[in-house]
Amino acid sequence: MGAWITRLAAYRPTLERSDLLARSGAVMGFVFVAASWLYLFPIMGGPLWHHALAWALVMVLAVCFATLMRTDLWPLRLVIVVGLIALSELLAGASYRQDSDSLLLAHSLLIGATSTVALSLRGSWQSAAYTALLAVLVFGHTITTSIQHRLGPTTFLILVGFWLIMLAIRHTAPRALDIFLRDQAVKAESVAAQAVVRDRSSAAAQDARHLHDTVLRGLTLLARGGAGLAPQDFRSMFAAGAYDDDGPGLRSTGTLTESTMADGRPAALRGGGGVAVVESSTATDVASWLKARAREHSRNGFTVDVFGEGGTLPPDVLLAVADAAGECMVNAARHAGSDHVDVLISRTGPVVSVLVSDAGRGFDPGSLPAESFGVRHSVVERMAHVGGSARLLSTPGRGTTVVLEVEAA
Amino acid sequence: MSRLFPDVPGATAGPLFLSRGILVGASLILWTFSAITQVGSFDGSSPDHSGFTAVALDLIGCCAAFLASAPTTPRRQLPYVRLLWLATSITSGVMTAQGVTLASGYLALAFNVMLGTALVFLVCMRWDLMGFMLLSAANSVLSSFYYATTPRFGSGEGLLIFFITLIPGLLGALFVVGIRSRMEEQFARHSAQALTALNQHADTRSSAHTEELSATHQQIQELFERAARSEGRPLTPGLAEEAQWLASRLRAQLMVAHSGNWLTEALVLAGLDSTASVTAQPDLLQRITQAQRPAFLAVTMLLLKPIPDGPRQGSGQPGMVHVYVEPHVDDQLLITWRVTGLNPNRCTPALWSEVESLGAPRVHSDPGGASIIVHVKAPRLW
Repeated sequence: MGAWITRLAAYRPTLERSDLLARSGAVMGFVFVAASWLYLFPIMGGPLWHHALAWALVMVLAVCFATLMRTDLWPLRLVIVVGLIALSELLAGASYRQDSDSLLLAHSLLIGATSTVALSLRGSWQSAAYTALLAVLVFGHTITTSIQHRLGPTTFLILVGFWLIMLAIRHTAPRALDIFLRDQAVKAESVAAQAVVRDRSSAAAQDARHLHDTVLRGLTLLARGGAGLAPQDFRSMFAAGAYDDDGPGLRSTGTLTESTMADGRPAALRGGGGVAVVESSTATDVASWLKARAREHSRNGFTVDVFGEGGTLPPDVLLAVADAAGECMVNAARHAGSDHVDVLISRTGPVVSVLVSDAGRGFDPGSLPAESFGVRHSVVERMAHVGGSARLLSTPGRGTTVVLEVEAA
Repeated sequence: MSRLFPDVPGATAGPLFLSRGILVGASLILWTFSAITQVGSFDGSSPDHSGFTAVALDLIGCCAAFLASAPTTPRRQLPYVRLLWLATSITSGVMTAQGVTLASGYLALAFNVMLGTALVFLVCMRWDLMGFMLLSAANSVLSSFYYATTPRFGSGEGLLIFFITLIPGLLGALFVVGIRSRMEEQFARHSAQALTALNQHADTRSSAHTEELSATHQQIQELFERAARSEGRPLTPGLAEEAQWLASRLRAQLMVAHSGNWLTEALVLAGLDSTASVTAQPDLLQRITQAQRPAFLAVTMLLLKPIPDGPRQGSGQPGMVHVYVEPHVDDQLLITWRVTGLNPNRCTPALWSEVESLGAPRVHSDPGGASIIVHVKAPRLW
């Protein structure tokens, strides 16, 4: 059987969208035949050969519908139509016919199942003529039997409804399917484009933060003649390799943890003049890290005090919070005109909050220039990158508070 | 269940079925036949007020179903429209069943339940699969109930009607599962292909900038080495000047790298930048959350890509798309897609489903095209 079907399938016309419709028609036809058969056969009367023939017809129809899943060759459609007509006649003979009988509804649905062959209609005059011929056959039989048995228009109307609906499906479905597939393709492309841009932007922002917090800060110090740096700090800061990461723009889209903690251990920043130098540390709680940053940034009369406890955080989140808070300290030292910063750590449930406050000159957050890397990238985006948030509260003349929040889980 | 509802953008937002046009056509055909049998009295019954009322209720039910399946109907109104349809369907079914006698009315009831079965598809067009299956089963039970109240009701007839009305629902569910499965596969395949192509494109585009940045980085390394060799002695003015120049250059290069915005970048990658113009401050675009961005981009790209041509050649060709993002009250942004030559009625359900995932859309049409406007909640960055 399988080889026979495969051989038949080899002769089928070129595959089109309508093949999908023909297959759907095969499923629908099979279901309606099975439902009508299950309802009508148990009450079927007549001689034994009627029963045997009805069984045989149902088997043939089942095979035809199964074959229709692979090919819709014209003889197959003819066999289906003739088989359905014959089966309806056999089953109709077993029952009495009148318009208000529910059995007639089952017969009508059985005849109506012939309309599924309309789904194999193709865009050629031969196909149209052949489908019209099958329609004439079905409608001719229905009208004839209706007249013969003095029936009303029930079956005829149901048949007309079935054929109209199937022709509407045949006409509309291919384009609807094309549009549907096109929409899916566009959506897939948009998701891919957004993902690529997001990953690239994230990597670029990570590079930018890294360069801003290390290289750019070092360059600024050099441009000022290295003022304020002790000789040993100066040497360690600019020693060969201290800034030599993979180089800007050459890093992959790896996480912050991967790029800054190559040895797999938590890292803390040490050094002078606000320049980040990676050092290993085993501490994993927020307070220890922020106290280390406070020591790092307290110099030349500028002091940072840290209060409170925040518990532990995942390494990448901890590093982001410490880096963002460190950047806030640097900004306060540079721009606030204040010589002191308070850092308050608190934890409410899973949320860890870090407030970095100064009583300096303050500013209008809305007027922050777009090229302000320090706040935008090194604080806000850094926190967003690990799922946290940063809020900037400042008024000219009344100091600045930056609220960093992140969930521990 | 996850197989039935794949994690594909827009998959759960509908539409559930491919073509609303087919369902509308089928419903109209069935309503016509239902009206003919109710009013035409083919089986000898005399038309009465209840018959006319049932026909009118069926028409109201059809309108409610059309409304429930319309892509532009606000989603919050859909439950009420569905309830309206259910009420009209039950009333019409009961009235039609009351008109059934031993000799007549059976045909009218048959068409009434067939119409109800077809309208279930339309009503659930923008619902989910579970809702559709639930309503199909409810419709089958109700149909059986109508038959059970008729004087001709005999053993097995209610069951027949139950199964006959349940079959389309089962076929519909089978169809949805099949299509969803194909969609999931196709989406995964398209995404993988697009990712590969777009990554290559992005590599090509960013290579010049990366090389430039690498050259600067190399110069900075050399400068730092020279600074380290100074052993803390006072730096020469030349070295400080060079540091100043390199800092300016590096800052400029970083600014260039961040001068674009994610929407324009994505459109450039997809090769659609020539027909799209984005007017928005980068800050405002950044405020749009990562969760909202795929839908925003999908809407823009769906408007930019042509709809496959049908018999009306060229009618689906889009014009220029202008995207405006403006600040609005209460941390909201106002997004406007202005498309020249667009007929909003020809937009696909997928587009409306994506727009609706951003917010409730408003549409303005004029002779030159159409504008789709949506308010998006986008909190400030700080």
